[in-house]
Amino acid sequence: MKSNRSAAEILGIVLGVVAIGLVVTALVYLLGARPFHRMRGDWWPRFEGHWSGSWESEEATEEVSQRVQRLSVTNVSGPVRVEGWDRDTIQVHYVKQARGRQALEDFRVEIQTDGDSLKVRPVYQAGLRFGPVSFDIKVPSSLKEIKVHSVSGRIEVAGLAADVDQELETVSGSIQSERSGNLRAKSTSGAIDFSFAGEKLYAKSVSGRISGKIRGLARGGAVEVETVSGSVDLAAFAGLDAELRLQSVSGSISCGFPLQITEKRRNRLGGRIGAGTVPLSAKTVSGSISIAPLD
Amino acid sequence: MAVRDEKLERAKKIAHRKMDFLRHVIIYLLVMAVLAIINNVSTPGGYQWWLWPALGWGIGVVANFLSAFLYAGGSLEKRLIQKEMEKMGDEE
Repeated sequence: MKSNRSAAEILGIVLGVVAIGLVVTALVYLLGARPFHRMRGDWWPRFEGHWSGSWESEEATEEVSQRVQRLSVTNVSGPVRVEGWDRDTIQVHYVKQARGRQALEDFRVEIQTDGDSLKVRPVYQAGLRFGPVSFDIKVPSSLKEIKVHSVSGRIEVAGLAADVDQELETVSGSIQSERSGNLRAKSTSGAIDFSFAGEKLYAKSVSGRISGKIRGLARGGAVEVETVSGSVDLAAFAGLDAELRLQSVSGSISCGFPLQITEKRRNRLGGRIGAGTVPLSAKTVSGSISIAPLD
Repeated sequence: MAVRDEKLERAKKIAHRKMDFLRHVIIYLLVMAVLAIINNVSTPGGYQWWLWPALGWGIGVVANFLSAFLYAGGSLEKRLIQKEMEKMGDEE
């Protein structure tokens, strides 16, 4: 039987079949299925990528004996816990994970001292291989400053002296600071819980509840707490001396301190507690706000 | 004469679709080849990210292929027309 197809048609069909093959290959690779194991040779792209293969993990502990005053941790994915202990050294324990051995070996954790600072971060090769790393870091409780920046993962700081300044930021994950000096806590999606005694407090979340204890507030300081979707619950020491500005678009506002009211509207409450020395503002769009004396 | 013109128009339309597909698939394969080269030169043996556009765009190419060769005047439509004509012949 003689075919009446033109060369262009045959080329079109062949290339169409090639395109179908490519789409199926892409689908198989991207979904992590591996039916081609036996037939593929060295020329075949390796499938032990980020999305395929079983999860592999590697953990390590490193001690830093050099005395440092500041700690900076940057992470892409995974929880970060910083805990104070009674030694002068810093111990960094981490568990890194990736799908497949090759992907695991493609990134490392860098622990580097720079003057009086210690920097900890995972270093990835170019490409989209962001394996999660969970950090458990022990530090002298008298450290001066701690900075933790993460993209996805909760941040927890505990067991430190009351005057350690902290800057804790994550895009997705909760933040918990058991005790801090000046505090800057920021989460896009996650709750923030803190206990603060310092000069400046800034806590902001887009989607998450903010709760905290203000154990001390220095003169000349400021407190700013803000969330979009979530409530704000603050408990402050009895001698609080603050100029209060509370604002909630759709939620109740309550103040357990004796307040000299300067502004009272449906969604706003302003006034002075004591002499009103330190500005204290709390805002939310969807949620309630409460401030009460500590038990 | 009208039937001949109609046939010519249809033939033109089908040929046009097939040529469109041919251009589309050649550009697709060339672009994917370039992306695969960039991917494997920058991260040899690394994550094959170029397969994401290959999949996304590829779905469109496959749809184009099916419409050019199977449906629009292609074998499927031809067979259906033939069957319909056979039925009409039986009725007469």
